[in-house]
Amino acid sequence: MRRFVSLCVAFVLALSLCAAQVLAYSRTNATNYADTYVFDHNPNFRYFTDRNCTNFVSQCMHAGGVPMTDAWYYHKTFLHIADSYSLSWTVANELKNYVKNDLGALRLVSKWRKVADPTHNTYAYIDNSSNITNTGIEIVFYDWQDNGNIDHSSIVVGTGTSAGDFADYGDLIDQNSYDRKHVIWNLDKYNTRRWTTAIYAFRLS
Amino acid sequence: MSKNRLPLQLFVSVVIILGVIIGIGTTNDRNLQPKLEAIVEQAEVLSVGQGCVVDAKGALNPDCVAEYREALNAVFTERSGFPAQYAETMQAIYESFDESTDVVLNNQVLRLDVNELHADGKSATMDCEVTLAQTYIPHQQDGQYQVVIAASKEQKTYTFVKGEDGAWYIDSVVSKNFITGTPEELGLANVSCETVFPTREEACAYAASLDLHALLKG
Repeated sequence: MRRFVSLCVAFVLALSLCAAQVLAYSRTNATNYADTYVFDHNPNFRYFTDRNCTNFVSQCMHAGGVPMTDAWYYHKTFLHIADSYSLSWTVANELKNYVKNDLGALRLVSKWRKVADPTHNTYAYIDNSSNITNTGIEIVFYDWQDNGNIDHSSIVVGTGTSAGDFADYGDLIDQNSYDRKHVIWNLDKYNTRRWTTAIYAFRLS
Repeated sequence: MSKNRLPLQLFVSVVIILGVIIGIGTTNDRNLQPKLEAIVEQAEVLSVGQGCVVDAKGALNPDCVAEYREALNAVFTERSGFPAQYAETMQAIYESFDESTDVVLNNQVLRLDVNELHADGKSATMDCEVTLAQTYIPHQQDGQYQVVIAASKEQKTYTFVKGEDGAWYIDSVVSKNFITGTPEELGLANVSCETVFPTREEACAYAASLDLHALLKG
């Protein structure tokens, strides 16, 4: 009997821990972090010139409550002399696999291509009318050539008018490499490869 | 005195021999390089320009898909997969084309910096940095047409094979560190650009008048 009670207690505790981990995901914390460090890079992490996008997104996810694991981590050392980090922390394709397979994030669409959109010039699955804001942490992945290898990542931070060079309205992202704050998630007007770019989005929690 | 000079003479000899070897190795590359650069420039224009379904006045070009296929086949091997992928995209754009379709009117390779070239008689590999700019005309939600200049920089490794006809074709492309944005963001000059026009024809006329090479500083 005592053994049964112990097992039940352990089971309940395990469930609580899992629930706490899920509930710990905070969109507010993630987006606040993104807005704070998108230009002024957090000195606690290395900055990878011209390829810092996924390092930045990983930091935002972690700030939002996603715990580091053996498969997704960044370990800082004094003056960054011997920092260690997983590929899933710094490489877009690896982070996509981690988010999808290990975190079980919700994939918002199978894949999006510009030309497949019947309205031609809008990006369909995260549009102005979607309820994407305040529902979780959304990570966007970009495959410039649609060759199956993710090249770039960003994080959704809200909905509104783009603060970049183009005053479009819609869901906005922050990103590094190139550093941009509150710009339209599809990057259409910045992207010389828009016709072959495939975009994927995943929602945590 | 002569003993002291011996290591120096040896060093100089080795440097000269190495120089000769490297020189011999790159003689052929120097002859080949301009040809391969021209192919890369054409490939870049095609690979980012499959939105070019319109002529300079903004009207749909009925021959665009056939012309595009032909141009692709002159640059890429079938095995590379690019002719099929790009032609499929172009076909889809063509079939769904109407007044709201975004178009790429023009794109230019602004700079091609070759870092390394290895070649034998049948194949070649070229590492380079490609800087590119394009005029893009998206149809706005308010019905107007915007003229945008987008630019990109990336490191690329092209693999070429020599065809049975003696011409060189791109067989594979590996890209890394692709960065795209406004010309100013990429360290290029900021060309003045009136951005919004009521008709596609006007937007295309304006876009065609822009000198993208003027984006290069100095």
